[in-house]
Amino acid sequence: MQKMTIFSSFFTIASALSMPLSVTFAAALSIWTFPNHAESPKAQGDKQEQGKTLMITKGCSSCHQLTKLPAAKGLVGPPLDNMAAQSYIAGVLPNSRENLTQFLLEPQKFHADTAMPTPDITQQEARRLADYLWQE
Amino acid sequence: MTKTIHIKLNKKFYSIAALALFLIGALIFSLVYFGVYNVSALTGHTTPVYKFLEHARIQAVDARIDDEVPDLSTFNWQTSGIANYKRHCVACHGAPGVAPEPFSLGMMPPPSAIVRVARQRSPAELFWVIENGIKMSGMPAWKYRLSDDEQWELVALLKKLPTLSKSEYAQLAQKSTGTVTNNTIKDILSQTPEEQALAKPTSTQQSAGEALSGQVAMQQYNCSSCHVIDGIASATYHVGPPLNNMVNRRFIAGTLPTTRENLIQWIMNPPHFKPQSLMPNLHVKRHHAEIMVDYLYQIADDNQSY
Repeated sequence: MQKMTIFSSFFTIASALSMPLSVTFAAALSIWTFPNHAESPKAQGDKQEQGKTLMITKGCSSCHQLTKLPAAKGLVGPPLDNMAAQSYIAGVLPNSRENLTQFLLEPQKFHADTAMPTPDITQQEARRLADYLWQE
Repeated sequence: MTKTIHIKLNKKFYSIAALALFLIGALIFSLVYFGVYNVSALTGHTTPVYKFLEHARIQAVDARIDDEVPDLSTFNWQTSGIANYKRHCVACHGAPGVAPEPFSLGMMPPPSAIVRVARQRSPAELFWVIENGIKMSGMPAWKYRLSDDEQWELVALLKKLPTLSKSEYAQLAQKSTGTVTNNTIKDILSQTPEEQALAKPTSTQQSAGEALSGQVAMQQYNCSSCHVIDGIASATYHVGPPLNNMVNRRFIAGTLPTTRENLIQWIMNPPHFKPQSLMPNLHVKRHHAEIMVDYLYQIADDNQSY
């Protein structure tokens, strides 16, 4: 019992100190980050939803695996998890949102021998897919 | 005042603490004395040790970096930066589409895949590591070998590398051949006479081949610097695709149908099948490629017959 006193008093002081700090920090963080989001969370959620639908309707999910989309479990192409962390697209193209959008529009332009067919998608749909895949 | 008296009275607490400390000390001593932990560079650290060291390294660098970063666009990375990179760095770290020298594949920890590091780390961190090196990793300190400007040129180049395709890097590397450098791409891809002799099937020692596990082979060709592979502790960034279930996927590199033989052929010479691929030719010997492929089947979701 006695040996716990020091520990508990230490933690009480530590938490008493850190509580106002963390609250201030969280408040500061929310003030700092909030104006950066031009879009409301709902609009973003809609875009995510669109990306998800495109993954299935445009056939991506039948060849590629994506952990966050259980319906996507294809074993033809590589898994598409952690796209934001990938260095390259198809092993040939430096990865960026822009490059991924271009690749989705015309894969053969970047890798002539690729087994990936050209998806039937518009520029905007390609951008939605790229955004969806880049989202953590 | 009262607290000190309480603690002094509590002898039981002290004796338990002393015993615990003694046991921990004895454990560490015996781990060292009996040589339990393997220092061989054939395999990497165990996952807990790897995670611990990686975390310690990141914290140590973060605690020491200077926040003041000069404007990277002012540095001459296209010629002088690339020339120094080719002279001092490419032998261990490789470059887009360029394999590191064979000797560096045997290093442990393996020199990191440069593109992954460049994407992940800030300019300040990159500069600090170039300047100071990292203890017990093989990364040397360049502080007294390169000027500050030369080191910043390298940082500027590193930040550009992830945006370059294989052919774009090759063009830039070609342009800077005017400077004194031994490490042209051709030199790196060529093997020393000893290595050529080893590559011949006749000189392959059967016993050595048998002793080598697929897991060790994967590490000895530094596959895990770019690929996520079950059973090998390494960073989890992705340069190439994960290999955990790749034998069950229909195509290798999006172009070659997946069969055991095609996997072996691909590992031995990727540019032959996909010239623009960022995966370099690591001159993997056939019997090594075979046991690597065996390992890939072993870690796949279900062992299909092949």
